[in-house]
Amino acid sequence: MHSVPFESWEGAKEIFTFAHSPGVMAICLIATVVVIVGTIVASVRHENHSFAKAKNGHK
Amino acid sequence: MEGTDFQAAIDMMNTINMEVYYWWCTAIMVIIHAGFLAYEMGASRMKNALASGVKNILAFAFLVPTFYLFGWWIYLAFPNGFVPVDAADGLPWALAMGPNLGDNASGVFWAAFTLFAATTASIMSGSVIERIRVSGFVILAILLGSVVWILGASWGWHPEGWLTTEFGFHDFGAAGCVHTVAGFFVLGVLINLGPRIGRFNADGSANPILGHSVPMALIGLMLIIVGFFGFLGGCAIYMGSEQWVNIFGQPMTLSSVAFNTLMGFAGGIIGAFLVTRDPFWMMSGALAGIISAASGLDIYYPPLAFLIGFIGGCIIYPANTLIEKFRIDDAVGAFAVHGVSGVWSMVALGIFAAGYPQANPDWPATNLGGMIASAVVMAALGFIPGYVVSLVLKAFNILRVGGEAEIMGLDAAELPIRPYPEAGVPQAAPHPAE
Repeated sequence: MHSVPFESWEGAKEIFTFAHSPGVMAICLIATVVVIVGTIVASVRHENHSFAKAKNGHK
Repeated sequence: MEGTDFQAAIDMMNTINMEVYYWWCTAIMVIIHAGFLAYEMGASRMKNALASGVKNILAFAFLVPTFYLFGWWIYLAFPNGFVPVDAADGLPWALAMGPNLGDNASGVFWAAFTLFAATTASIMSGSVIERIRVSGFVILAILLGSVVWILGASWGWHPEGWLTTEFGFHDFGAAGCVHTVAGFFVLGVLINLGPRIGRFNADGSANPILGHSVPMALIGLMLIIVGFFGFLGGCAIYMGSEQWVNIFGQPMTLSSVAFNTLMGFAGGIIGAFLVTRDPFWMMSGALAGIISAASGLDIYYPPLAFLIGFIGGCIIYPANTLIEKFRIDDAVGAFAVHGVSGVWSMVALGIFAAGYPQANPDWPATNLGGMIASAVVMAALGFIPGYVVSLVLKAFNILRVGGEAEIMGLDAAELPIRPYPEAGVPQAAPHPAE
């Protein structure tokens, strides 16, 4: 995986992985958003399930 | 002011800035131990709460002098493997190892590394609560904190460690020498120590043993996170009028570490929340997230650090469940949180950050094979001494407390005071420590 955005430390500025690959950066950003939104959606489903069980008197 | 005087003033200011920087990193790292103290006492049943705290306090106390006596020398002496190089400045009778107006660096660097050492020993401390003997624990803590991890640091967390010069190893935040070494050391000890009474049924199924104060444990874990900022700050080398460098001599910024520490932290919590919904594991996930991103905190794209931390948060609970199937009782999940996340951290760097050049262009760039080989070295370096020495301690009957004391509770069995004397909790009558 070609992740290094520079050839030499001398004069390098943006040293982070994939700084030269907007496509990979976009994939990372989208995956981050998916994790955040997906976890919130999963949390809503979990809460609905838990509260429904609680309402029915189950633990 | 003459030019030479001006330069001398700048040089002195840089020296003092360096000294002040590591002084405060060290102070913030002490918070890690406040965290471990609360975490382990909270994770213990009430009958063992203070004994767990005593163990933790003693680990810190014994690490300081032993790291002075030989730990610092080990770090300076063994970057090539097992054959020492000249490291006279690290010997306890060296003139640099005491108040010296010509040396502002040795004391604060020694102190910072001593706190790294105490942190490493404390990783073991929580796993073995409620059944280990204090004497056996102290021996193991000294071995882990003042010998084993620092040997790993000399190999792979040193400007000229052989893992870097031979394999292209890169590990900014010490996922290898601190977390992996400690996690696998713990695993070796736990195999010989055995589970707490009642932890497993005859059919191998596990019974949960809940700590007496989960809120205290959670606050402790959050304190550890606070202390991590001192720990990770101490991983950066202050260069005066020049850019920061990491311990391998590559240029970096503290901003990089700020971005990625917080992103890894958040990813770890979210991952553990998704898998467990358990606040204890969520805060353990916070640690796992930072550890998972630790190797590349200086170079990761922050969303990548978040995703690596997220995976770390997702895998720790299944990893802990897996070792339970082998009847290994890790009371706080330290093997999973530190050992598994530490290995994942190094492998992830090999996957996502291969090709970074070293400070010395003659050394190999970061690469997946080198990171995996280094991870194996670190795991073995932790596991083998942990297993062998705990086996010896077991043979001499100084590893585990007796069954009666374990059932009674270690506070009543060996301490003169009780954690909550007015709580009305059934406890054996206090008696003076013998």
